[in-house]
Amino acid sequence: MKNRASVVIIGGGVVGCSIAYNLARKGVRDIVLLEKHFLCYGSTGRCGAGVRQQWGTERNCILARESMKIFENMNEELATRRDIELKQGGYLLLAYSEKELELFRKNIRLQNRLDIPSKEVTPLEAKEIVPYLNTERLVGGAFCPTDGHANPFLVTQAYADAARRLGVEIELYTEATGIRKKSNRIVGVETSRGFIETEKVVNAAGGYSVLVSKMAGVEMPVYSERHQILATEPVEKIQGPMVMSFSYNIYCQQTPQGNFLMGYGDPEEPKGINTRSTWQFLETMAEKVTWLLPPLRHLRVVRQWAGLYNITPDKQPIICEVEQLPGFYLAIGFSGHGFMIAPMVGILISRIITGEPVGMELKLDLERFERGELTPEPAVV
Amino acid sequence: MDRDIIVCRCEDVSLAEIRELLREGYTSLDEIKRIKRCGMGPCQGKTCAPIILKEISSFTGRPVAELAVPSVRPPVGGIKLGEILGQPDSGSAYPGVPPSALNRYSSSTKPYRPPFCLP
Repeated sequence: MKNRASVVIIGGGVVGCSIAYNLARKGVRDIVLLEKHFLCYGSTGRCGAGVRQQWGTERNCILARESMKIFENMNEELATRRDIELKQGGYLLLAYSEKELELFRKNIRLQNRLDIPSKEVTPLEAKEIVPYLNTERLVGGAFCPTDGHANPFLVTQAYADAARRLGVEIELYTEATGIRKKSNRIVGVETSRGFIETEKVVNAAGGYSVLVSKMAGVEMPVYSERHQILATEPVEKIQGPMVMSFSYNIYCQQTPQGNFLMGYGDPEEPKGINTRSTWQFLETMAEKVTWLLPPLRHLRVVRQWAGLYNITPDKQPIICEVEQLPGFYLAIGFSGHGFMIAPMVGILISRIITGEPVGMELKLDLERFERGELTPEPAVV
Repeated sequence: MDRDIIVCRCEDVSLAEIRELLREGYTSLDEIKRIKRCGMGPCQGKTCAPIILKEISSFTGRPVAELAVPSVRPPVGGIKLGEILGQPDSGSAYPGVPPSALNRYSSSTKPYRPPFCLP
């Protein structure tokens, strides 16, 4: 392992690997990425694999839209060995009240203005898209045909392989255990396999971001929270889009392999780092999904697992250089929507690190919380 | 000949493909699982894991006992979402869903049992 790097990235998920690739692409040499286990051990490898552009703020829409363009060309751009399995069957969002439908309408106007091809759908139209959808109590919905699915493992691996080809060293099974500073400047990273001298560190540690920032003496109003998920056996293709509802609290999609992935957010989930499974989730999930998508009651659950959402006060990520500690960068707090914007996050952080203009107004700095400048995103599950 | 030996029955992965992955640098079952899906199917690795671990051991020279194994997660055997709620398994007419679509193993008249062997 190198004992000197120009940048050390802590975290081998999709965000860390996207940053590594984009930095290397800009000509930065001697980049080292540290991953405590294997790539995608954390949230990336546990997520619902959904990618959508139907967001409620201009910034999120742009991040998602531009990331989708990258997903669409990723096999070529990263010369992938394995197809990233992008499936654009759409996202069907379900509204169960007039108020919710009004919010969808407002969001669709914003999205359309930004060239995202979403549209409002009536319950009947929703049933045309998913014929076996239970439309009881459904008031309306939104649908964007270019949203969908991508394989988190293969996307991360594609970024990692491309990064390696450009000289990035990825150290697996290597835990960052400390960040050494001198006169408020970083001098290096302590790891389970030795010390790496460096002046620049990127915290891309997802669910463990608070621990890493603590190593640098940086406090963040961020917490992690378990979210559970399950997968069924694979069957013939019967569902095109991801079906999702904020108010009913569910998401459920059929992957290109044929398995159904589904989950919901438990409102009673305590904060903390926990990735264990519960039977309560299995039971509640079965109740929710069999009501909404009746044929799924015949499908066998092969596995349930859990991952962490890394959550900020406004459920928006923190993408910045930390003011109080120059050389320390944050790409965390994605609050459940990191995978789908990782392509753009890699580009933005690499611009911040190399001092180039970011190219868009982010307002995602750590210090915004102190200033009280939060921009909450309404559309989250 | 490697190409004809199926190591992972759920995902149809041959011994040749496993050996190729090892040469690519994926020398742990966790990585092989995530790239090639061995261990994600209905058997959840009960069939393929011992075979792949043996291959990893041969390739890396490390004894099988020292190799990391992916976590075991519930449920132990495939249970239908409806079964969890005590619903009868009857009634499989749904708009837009051909009857054969809901059961990958529907060609058999016997109840489905995932391929696994208990120690």
